[in-house]
Amino acid sequence: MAERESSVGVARVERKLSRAWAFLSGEQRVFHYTVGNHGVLQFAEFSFFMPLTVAKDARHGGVGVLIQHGDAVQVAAHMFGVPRQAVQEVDLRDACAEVCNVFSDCIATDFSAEQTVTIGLPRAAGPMEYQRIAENSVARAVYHGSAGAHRLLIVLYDSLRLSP
Amino acid sequence: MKATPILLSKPLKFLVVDDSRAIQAIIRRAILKCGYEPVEVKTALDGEQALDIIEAFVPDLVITDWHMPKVSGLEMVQALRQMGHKTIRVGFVTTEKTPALLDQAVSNGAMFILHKPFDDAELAAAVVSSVKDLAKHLVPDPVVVQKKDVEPVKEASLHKQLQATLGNIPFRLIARDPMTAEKLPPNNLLGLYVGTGLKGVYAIGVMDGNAVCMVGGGASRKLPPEVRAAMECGQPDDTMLTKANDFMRAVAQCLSETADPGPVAVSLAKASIVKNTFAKLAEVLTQTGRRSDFRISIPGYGEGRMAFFVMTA
Repeated sequence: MAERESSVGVARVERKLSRAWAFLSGEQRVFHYTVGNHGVLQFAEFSFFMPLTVAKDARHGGVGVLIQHGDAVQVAAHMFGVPRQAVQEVDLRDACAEVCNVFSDCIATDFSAEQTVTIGLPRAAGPMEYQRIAENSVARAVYHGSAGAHRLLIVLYDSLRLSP
Repeated sequence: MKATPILLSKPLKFLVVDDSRAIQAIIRRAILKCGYEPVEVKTALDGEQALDIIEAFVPDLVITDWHMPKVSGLEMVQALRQMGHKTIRVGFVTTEKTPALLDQAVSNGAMFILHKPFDDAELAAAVVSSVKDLAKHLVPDPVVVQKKDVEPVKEASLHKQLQATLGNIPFRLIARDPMTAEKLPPNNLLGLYVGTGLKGVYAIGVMDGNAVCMVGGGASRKLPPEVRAAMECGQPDDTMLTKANDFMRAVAQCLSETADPGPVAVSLAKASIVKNTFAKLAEVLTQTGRRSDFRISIPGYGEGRMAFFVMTA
């Protein structure tokens, strides 16, 4: 894990993530910066990746968002405005992709505060791809938000040595 | 909570462009919360699809994401302008914050740029701000095409429609018993009628909540206790509401018979439940002429009211 982010920057990202989660899920949740590498490789059922690029430095990275099934159902039900039982599998993936999109925006300024960060399109990352990303980059920051048994992880990957 | 309906003589048309169907759903709900009725909302998953749709469906407002596969939101708007659609209004709902790019959106006529995450109320306010002048123009223009000194709906004609709806259920129809705002229960069915070739709303029909339960309940052969229960709580069930809508639609025939110059084919354009506090309803009920008021009584059910108003200059 890279050097710890500034406390001001961390608090700002934590607040943004909480606000984003309220928009996406209709629930309040507190997010915390995680020290250490716990859970970075903990692939979840709904794992998404958003590529980030700083063109000027030819620097690649991305945001990994790992969502467990219960949280995915909550987000999809809230966004589609349907009961949890009525959520379809395809809706779960659609909603989780948007979670990745909005969370990435919350954290992208940490990738480079000075240079323009180009944000790509979110995509589902299977276990193999996710592991490859994690092994070929530096997990610069990890944020987590927990509610009961549900644990949501957002990982900012830097210095990615693969094509994003 | 949904806003009080703002009734329009023709639909406000929206195109929502986002590669996330979940975001499309959120935007659609925000549009509906604005209270415009009727509205038409179409959706596209990317800019390319949006441009295809616009060839046949020219929206009043496009609400688009920025980052999408194939054709981005900005590219889509630029293409739209190049195609000559200078007047289609556009708003962005996006995570994009790069100032130079946002400037391009503004220079292409973006009326708002809302960043995710946003509140539903923020988006609804942006939508209202973008189309409120169009909505003003769409408020029903008064038209006078009804035969002079003739009630819009004749008692015999309505009696016939009720018989067709209620079958062998006995009922009594009392004409010229004026419907007033004070007599209305909380929820009422309001219908907008249009005439072929006529501009604007031709007539407005109102069934009070009791009449909706009675006519809808009778048409679906509900037992009296069920209808009375619905009347007491002011909540017709879906079947009652559907049948009451059907009846409202059938009354268009009665309105056609009295239109002048005839023959004018009158049809029901829209029917929806409105609160008794709905301002437009109170305004209509004060109309002094070109109206037909009825009280209906069905043994075992109770009493309800309905009235029909031809829009006057």
